[in-house]
Amino acid sequence: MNFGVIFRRKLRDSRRSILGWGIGLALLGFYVAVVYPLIQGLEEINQLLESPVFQALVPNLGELDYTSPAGFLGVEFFTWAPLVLAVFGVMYGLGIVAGEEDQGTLDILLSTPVPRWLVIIEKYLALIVVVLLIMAMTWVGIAVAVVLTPDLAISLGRLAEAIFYMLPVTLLMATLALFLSTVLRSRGQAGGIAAAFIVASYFLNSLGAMAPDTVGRFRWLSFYNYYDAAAVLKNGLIWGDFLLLSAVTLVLLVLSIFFFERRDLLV
Amino acid sequence: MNASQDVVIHIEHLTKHYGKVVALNDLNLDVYRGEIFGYLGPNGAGKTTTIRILLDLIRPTAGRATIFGLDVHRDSVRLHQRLGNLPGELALWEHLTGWELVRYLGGLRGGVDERYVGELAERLDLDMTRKVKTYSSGMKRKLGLIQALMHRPDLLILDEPTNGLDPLVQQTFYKLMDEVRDEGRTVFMSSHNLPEVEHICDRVGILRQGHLKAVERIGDLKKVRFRWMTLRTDDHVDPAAFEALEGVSDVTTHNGTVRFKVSGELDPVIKTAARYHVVDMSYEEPSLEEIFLTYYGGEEQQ
Repeated sequence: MNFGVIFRRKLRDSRRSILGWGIGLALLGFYVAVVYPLIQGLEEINQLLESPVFQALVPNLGELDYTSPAGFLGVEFFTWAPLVLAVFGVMYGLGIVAGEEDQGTLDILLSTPVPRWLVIIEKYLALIVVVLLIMAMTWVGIAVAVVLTPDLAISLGRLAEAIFYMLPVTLLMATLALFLSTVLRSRGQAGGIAAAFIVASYFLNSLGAMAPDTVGRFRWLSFYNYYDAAAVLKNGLIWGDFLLLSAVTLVLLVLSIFFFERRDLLV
Repeated sequence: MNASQDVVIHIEHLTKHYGKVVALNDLNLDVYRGEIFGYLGPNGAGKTTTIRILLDLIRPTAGRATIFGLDVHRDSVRLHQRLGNLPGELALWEHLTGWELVRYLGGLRGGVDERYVGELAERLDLDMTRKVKTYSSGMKRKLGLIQALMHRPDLLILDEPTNGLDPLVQQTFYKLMDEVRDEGRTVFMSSHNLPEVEHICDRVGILRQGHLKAVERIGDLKKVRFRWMTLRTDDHVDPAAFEALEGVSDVTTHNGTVRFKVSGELDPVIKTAARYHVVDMSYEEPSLEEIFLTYYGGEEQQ
């Protein structure tokens, strides 16, 4: 067995994707951050946000003040960035097995002395590196804005933690897509269900905040429930949530390998 | 030849169901070292199913197969080191160049002999510096062949290898296969092209609707000889005169022309023909397919 060949190939093939998603998120972060001084003085917004309608739209605020740097970034950037990364994760996850299976290249790949589990593991390790690189670029984008915007008093270390905090969410979604694609054998169905889960996560969380007795009871199903970026920006990583998401991800990864090892490849 | 240590592919009661569809039914087959085995059958007969089981891409419903004594599923990684595979529906990484693709797959095999690859590319006349997405389907088949051959595998499993190759390249392919056989290596190739199988294979297995109908040496099959004879005369020919002859069958007449199958001695045919004024006569070898139909007469036709 020759380790690292698929990993390196996958990284090289992801160059454009890293640049695209990384620059996109960096620009989004930069833009949101430099806008902060405009919001900073608008104390009235906080009163507005007490209305449940607005709470539904800004699910990530927690007990923080919207006009504080952590509250503002938490709502305006860290509500959307994980959605973007979740979509990226789903696309990548579908590509690990189902993409090559649909194209037909998996027949050639698996005719070489490479076990199936190694294909998944190496592409998965490449995914972690790819996501970390995208996150590093995102950090640079926001960090530049923080340096240029003295009012945005936020620690660059905490910023890095909040960005890193999106890793388990991204991996969870990639692994969910991978898992579904190994079980359902249809990239379309797997992608559809994973996308539905992303949307459901968002609304379970935001509507759940408005209606805690009904929708709110299912809030634990949303990945946002384990993702409080504003709190991380203020107080640092919440390891309990981080590890919980990672554990679920690991289980899904093991199940994906289990099912993929056993099933027929599609023609 | 039949010594057990020379069995390369050993297939035992291999069966594959897709839901209610039986793709392969109780297949038993041995392929020996140093032979080119032609696996023949119409589309949908189960050729690709067999090949994909041998490569551990799909799993049998029942039965088992070994290659070089190694189980195709349990020992697949070790086994694949010694296999070269050309899929029937070949899909390659379109964004790579020929060289990049060969280096990628070579990397997975622990290295690639670039000189040998260069030599193969030259013989097949393939520009390896271009991206696969700019290749024609014939060029992709060539690259598929190169990646199957490049590590000089002990066993080549080729699914419809000449499909999409132009006649000149087919000749190169036949030469390459001869060389593989001369080195004592083994080829298992599927085909629905009879003349091709007749041309390069030592033995042939006929698969139909998931059943292996026959395994024969090419030479033996040709012994089941008959020929098509066509006589053109300027008289009216009475078909009954020929039908009465021994070894003659399938007589048809059209104006002054009579056509029939002959096996056995020709003398009675010639004497009967001499009664007419023969303008022209043709005498044709049957196709392998016709031989098969004769050999396994009464089988349902495809």
